[in-house]
This record gives sequence, C-alpha cells and structure tokens, in this order.
Amino acid sequence: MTEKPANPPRTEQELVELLRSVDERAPDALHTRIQAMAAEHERDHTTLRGALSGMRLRLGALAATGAALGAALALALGGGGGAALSLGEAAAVTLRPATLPAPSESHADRAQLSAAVDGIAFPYWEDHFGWRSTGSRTSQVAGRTVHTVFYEDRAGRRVGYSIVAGTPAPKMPADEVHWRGGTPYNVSTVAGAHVVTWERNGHLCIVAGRGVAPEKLLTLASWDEA
Amino acid sequence: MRTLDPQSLPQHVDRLYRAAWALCGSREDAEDLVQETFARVLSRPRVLHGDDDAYYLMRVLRNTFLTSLRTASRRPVTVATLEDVVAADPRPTARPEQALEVQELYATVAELPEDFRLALVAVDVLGLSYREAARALKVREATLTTRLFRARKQIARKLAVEEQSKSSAPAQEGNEAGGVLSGGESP
Repeated sequence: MTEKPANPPRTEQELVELLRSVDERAPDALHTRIQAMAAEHERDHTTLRGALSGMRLRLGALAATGAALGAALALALGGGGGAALSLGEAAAVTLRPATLPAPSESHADRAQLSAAVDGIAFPYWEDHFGWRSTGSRTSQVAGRTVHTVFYEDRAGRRVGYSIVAGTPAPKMPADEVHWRGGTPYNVSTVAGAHVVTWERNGHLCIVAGRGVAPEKLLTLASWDEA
Repeated sequence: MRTLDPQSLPQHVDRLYRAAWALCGSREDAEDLVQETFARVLSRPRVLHGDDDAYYLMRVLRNTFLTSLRTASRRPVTVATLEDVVAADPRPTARPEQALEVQELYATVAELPEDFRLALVAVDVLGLSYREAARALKVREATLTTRLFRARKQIARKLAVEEQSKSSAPAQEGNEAGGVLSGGESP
C-alpha cells in the first residue's frame, strides 16, 4: 500500500486496487523460520534418499541396510539440527497458543496420549491429575521441530508440554535442579513463567505454565505411571 | 504433474502472510497460521497437477485456518504468552502509519463472514484467478463470484462508515458514503 486514499474506495475496482496495493512484508523472524523448515525438510530427505540408495546397493546385507534405513528414518522424523535452543525459546514455544486439536487418549496405554515424538509419548493426565489435553501445535525453533500438547485443569490454568524432536537434546540452564527417580529436572523461571526441562530418552522435554507452582510442574513432569 | 519444491516455498511467505493476516485480523495469529500451513505442506511430498503453487498453498491455508477456528472454539481464550515478552519479532515497522492502515483494512476483512472472507482473500489478497480460487475453496465458480461481490460490497460499506464517523465527528460535513458499492441498495 503506497499511500492511503483520501476517501474510502467507492467502486469495486477501487477496493480491489486498494487490497492489491498492500505490500506488507512478513516479519523477518517468520521468513527465517520458514527457510529453516524448508532447509530441514531438504536435509532430512537427502539423508533418506542416501539411505535408500545404500539399501539398493547392499541387497545381500539386509541387517546392515535395515540399520541404515532406521537411522535415516530417525533423522528424517527427528528434526535433527544442532542449533542452540535457548531456555527462553523453549519456554515461549511451550506457552504459545494451540493451532491443532488435542490428541486423544492412547488405546494401548491409559497413561499416555496418542501423540508421540520419536516414540516418546505425551502423558495422559486427566484421570490422575485432572489436567485434560486441550490442543497441540508444531513449531520450528532454532532449527528444531518442537511438538507441544496443551493441558488445562478445572480452574482454567494452562500448561504446555513440549518434546523437541531429534537428539542430542539441547542443554538447558537451571535455577535449581531436582532429582526424581534418578532423573535431573531443571527448574527455572523465565519472564514470570515457571519452566521445567529434562530429558526423556535423549530428547529435551519442557513443561511450562503461568500461575502454576513449580512444584506442581515438577510433579506433572516427573509422573511416570509405568 | 510435478512435485512441490520445498525450496520454492520461502518466496510465497509474504503473500501467504498477507492472506493469513486478512483471514485472522491479527499479525500474531497470521504468523502462527502461516507457519502451521508450511508445516503441513512439508509434512509429506506434495504432487501438483499442473497447478500454481499459490493455488495449492491457498488450499492448505484454508484447511489450516478452518481447523484452527474449530480448535479455538473449543478452548478458552488465553492471555498473552511468554513469547509476547521474550520472542516477539523485533523488526521495527518501517512505516507505522502504513501498518495501521493495513491493520484497519485487514481487520475489516476479518469481520466478514467466513465464506466471504475466504473468497476475498483468495482473489483480492492472494491474487488467484476466479477459477483457481473456486477450486481452492471447493465451491463453484458462480458461488465464488457471488461471495466475492458481496464481500467487496460489505467491505466498502464498512470502510465508508468508518471514514464517515471519523470525518464527521465535529460537524456532519462528511462525504456522502454512496458509491457503486456502498450505496447501491438505497431506493
């Protein structure tokens, strides 16, 4: 849009011209995220194609081929990348609004939802804690794919649970470290929101919420029905 | 028939962002919608049957938008998130007055009924042909034409009313709001 017309559009043509004259550019951060997503997609598919090619060359070595394909698939599905994900970014993405419906309860395991990242399932908290899943989203942050499920309790408090795809897990700083079941849980406060980070099978997990006590977040994060 | 090239996607970000902004009426929601749209597109290989990329992206944008509407209707309104504080885009708006005008215009578009809004965004914001837009929105071309006409008419009327209320605040000296679009129904 070059300049605002003195009067509102009076004809259909004027309105169309006004709408088509808008040249607002998307924020740089969005451009960066989309480029990272496209690059990651390309990298993963290149890896997968390489693995498939190797498989054709080694038809006699099924075991080795299977291992290569498995590794390639792990990379393709994992999100890869080694860029540094900061605690602020991890917390921010865990607190953003949902863009997708909530996953349903797993039929196979009543302690889990049907959604998982690299085989690591999101927990089902409704029966045990009264926190029901209300939505989900997938985000790209610092070159990593982050899957988040959002939960709410009956009081309307909201918690996000993120699992960062790919290994190794980015290292997170901590204000305090609490141990539960042999696992260290990093507890921090970022811009007024409490954040708990820890690792599950080499994957970074984040639980964050506003107005939810860190002890509660720690209880939720460390809950292991199994 | 060809496969959508993921490397070509970044060149569509600006157009899709404007389309998303007009659909949502908010820059922040538009960012989310665009990112979610591209995430969907990249989730698996996409085969285009001689179609323009923009047409295909509009289809995915529409589906993502409708999904997000359904999701939003099932959850309570949330307050500002941490990202508002620590991860908002720091890029300053080069021309604040322009951003305000666009915000007004797109906010008006976002108030349209959903079907009208999608038609207007597909044709007038994204720049699809009537035929492409009709296919992307899964409606007949005649239906799209009707929706587009009504959408433009409503937009023009709202903009005229807003302008009139601004200019006639001290004295009722404003321009007549009439015109081909906004005053056509007066006897």
